[in-house]
Amino acid sequence: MLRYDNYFIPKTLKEYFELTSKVKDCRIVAGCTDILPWAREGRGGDVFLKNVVDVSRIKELNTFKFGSKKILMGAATNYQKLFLDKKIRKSLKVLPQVSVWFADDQIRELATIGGNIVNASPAGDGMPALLTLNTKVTVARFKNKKIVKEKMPLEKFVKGRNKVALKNNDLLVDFELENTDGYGACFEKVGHRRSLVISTVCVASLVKVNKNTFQDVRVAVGGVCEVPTRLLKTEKFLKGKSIDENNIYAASMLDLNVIKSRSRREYRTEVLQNFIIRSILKSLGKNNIDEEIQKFDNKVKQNLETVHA
Amino acid sequence: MPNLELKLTINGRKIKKTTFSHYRLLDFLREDLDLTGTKEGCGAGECGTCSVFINGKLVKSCLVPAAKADGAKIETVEGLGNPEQMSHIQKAFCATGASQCGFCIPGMVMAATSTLRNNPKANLEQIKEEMGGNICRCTGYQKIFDAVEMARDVINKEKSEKVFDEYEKPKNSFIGANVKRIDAPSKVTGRLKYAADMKLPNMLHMQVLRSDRPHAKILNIDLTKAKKIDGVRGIVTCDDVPGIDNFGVFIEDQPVLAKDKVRYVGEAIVAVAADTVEQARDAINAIKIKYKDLPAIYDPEEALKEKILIHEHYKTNLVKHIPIRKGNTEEAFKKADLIIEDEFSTQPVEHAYLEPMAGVSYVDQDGVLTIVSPSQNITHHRHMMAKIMNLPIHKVRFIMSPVGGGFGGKEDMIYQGMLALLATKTRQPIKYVMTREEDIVSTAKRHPSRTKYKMGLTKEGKILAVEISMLADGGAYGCSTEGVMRKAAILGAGPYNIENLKMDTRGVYTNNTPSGAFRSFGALQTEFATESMLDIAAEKLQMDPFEIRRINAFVKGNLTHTKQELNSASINTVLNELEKLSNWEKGPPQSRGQIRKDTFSKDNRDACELGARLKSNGNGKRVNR
Repeated sequence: MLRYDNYFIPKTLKEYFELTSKVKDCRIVAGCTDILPWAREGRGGDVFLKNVVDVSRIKELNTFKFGSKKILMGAATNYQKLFLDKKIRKSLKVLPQVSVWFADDQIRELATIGGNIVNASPAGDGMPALLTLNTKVTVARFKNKKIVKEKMPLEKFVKGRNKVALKNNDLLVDFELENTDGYGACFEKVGHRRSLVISTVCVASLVKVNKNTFQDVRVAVGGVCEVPTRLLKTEKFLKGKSIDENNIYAASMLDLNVIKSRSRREYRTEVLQNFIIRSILKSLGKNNIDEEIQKFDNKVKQNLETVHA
Repeated sequence: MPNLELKLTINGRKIKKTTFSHYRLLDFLREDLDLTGTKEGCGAGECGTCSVFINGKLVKSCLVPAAKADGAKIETVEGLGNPEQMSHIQKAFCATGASQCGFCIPGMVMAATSTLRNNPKANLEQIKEEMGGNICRCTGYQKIFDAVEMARDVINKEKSEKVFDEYEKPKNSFIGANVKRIDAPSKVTGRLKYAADMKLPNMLHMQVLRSDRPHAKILNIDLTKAKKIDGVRGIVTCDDVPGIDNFGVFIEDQPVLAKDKVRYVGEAIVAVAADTVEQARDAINAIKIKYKDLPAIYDPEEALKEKILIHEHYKTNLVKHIPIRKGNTEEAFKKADLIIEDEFSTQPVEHAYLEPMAGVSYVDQDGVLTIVSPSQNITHHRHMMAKIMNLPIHKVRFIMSPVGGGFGGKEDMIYQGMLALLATKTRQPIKYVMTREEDIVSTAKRHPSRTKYKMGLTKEGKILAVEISMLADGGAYGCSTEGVMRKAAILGAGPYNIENLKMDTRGVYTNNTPSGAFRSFGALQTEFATESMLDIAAEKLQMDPFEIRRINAFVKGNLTHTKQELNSASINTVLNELEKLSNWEKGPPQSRGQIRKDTFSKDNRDACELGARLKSNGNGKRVNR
């Protein structure tokens, strides 16, 4: 059971920093979809907190500025907006794809993209997708009673398993995302249960096509290493190459060594390679994916035998 | 406890109320406003029994701190309708028989309402996807989907409201007839009170300290600090039991609270009653127990070696051995064209009823100890309770509250004893509601089993002889193990005419979670082996799996495995119907290609594929297969 004395809901960054510089022992929350299930038997148990500060209604964390190149999105944006918003569906196609796999409709109404990133879980679904969008984050700090903002690439912000570049009461404010209108997108995920599932492997991809060649390819993976990561060799190999089965297959082999999981490595390797192939095919807008992917089946199986020989 | 003032609108009514700071919206609705249509099935956002609208968006209220809802417009299931004036969706849930135990149903109705508000023309795939956050354990979802589609069609004026009243009048039998469920309106409107929804004046709340050791001697229980906690009104241990301290469905061997030693992780040791759940939890956290760990058994094979005894006074770990002998298997095997031997194992399974264990107890004005709980076995509980409490039977009363799913899991009397002790001690009503986690660790599971199997057949597929030996892990206490072993022995060889049978089922004590009753009660574990053996035989003999079963199926006049003459046998009727309905692809098992032709036949429901609402064609039909 989670118990606390005070629950604060500041409305602006200024209010937030004034509050947290005055009040000690603050626990920062947003959607609360992680802390409440955690404070139960077998996990956190009976948890006592002095002060809880809910940042989900801070104005600056709820911005949405749309540009043809860059899109600024507040950290408190919830996953249901990522799923339903028409502009996002067009220009940030990978985000609705992640959202449909992210918990369920009701949890998505509460869960924020910022909270997901700040938790920095190796299995977090948001990060691979944001990586493909070349995301930069804004962090706000309170120095000498002034709010100072710093912008940094997402890769620099997430430092490791459950570690991010936030100290004291620093706050993640927003994300600057690349408008990827014109790209095809895909998110693939596998875990134990379809709804509310925690990723064993997940892959996010963006593909832009120029006639019969790959103009741009971005693939990121989560669930198999400490911090989700882009598959740079795969991407580089495909850029400028013609769109065909052999190239996709060859690319799918290049980054399989990113898997650092201790358990079920063989399974994860097979899934990851299949996911890379599948997500690229889906990003290309192919129909009949099940038939398409069967063409790769034997090759993937043979490759696995050599990898694990 | 610190307080918080909330101003909000609930079901159109403005409300201003002080509540506990740490309350979730769910607690505020249930405890402060008695809006108990919103249920708590898991408390962790998994099940959806607590779904409510906040400012028009459906959320799980167990994941919302009450403070977050300040100033909001809340809509609960009570706001959608009442048994006399139901919404279209509620009427449709009644019409299709979508409510069974009913515990998930208020949440399901809320999710259906949200789905059709967001998209009044939602197709089946979109409905499945949007309602994916709500779990039902009874229906298999078909009737729920039928209800949502029915309501959608009425809302869109594609069907008349008359469909809500198209019930059948049963002729000779209720079986197969679509009859009106008289309890459906109370369930779909959230008005039915389950045990956890009940409140009595001066009611105290019980919490339980449970063992974190699988097998340990209890050296000392230190209650000093717990007794001093504010609001604590009563603490009981095994020393407070006035009568014969044991219970169990078949073998009465389990104490109300652990006596001298604990035998499994999750076993109750101390129960506390306090003014609030929070105070009772504080008291539990303040209790210190000194244990001496004992070597434990986790494997039923180890239990048979008898090196460690779980119950010393029984001098054995064997709970029950049921042998059946029919004909002469040794001789029959000599005549067999094909002999198959194999081993099968099954795992423990949690019942996962949506309603966690809960109960209320009180001693009434005439001194009658009364227990209200969703028990599946109240008469037996009453008799056991009279012995435990050393009361004449007329001073013990059991009231069965609506059961939010049981599946056999609510046959054991594992918490009612504690409720009785505290009600007797404090003379105040006591309420206990388990958390989902507590329920999973402490209540009985399906027996894990290992089955050794030998089957002899003629080349035409006729079974000549069967030998089965099943070993089941009964866990720390007897519970239903004896009955489960009996059923496993009697039914395990399946509905087949087997002239030579040697069957042995054994249940043993271990330090695992107790095993108990669960749908099909032992028959499942051994019949799983039997049916698997028949499939293997079909493959080896190049026969159709239906055919090999028909050859062996019981017919009128056959003797059962325990030599009872059958006046009737329905297995062939069932097989024929199944074959027809499944659009069965005939032939031996290995003759099918990679994709079975019957898997996606018209009568089989498609699996839910995510992304129905992202597809541009939006017709919800599966595009790729």
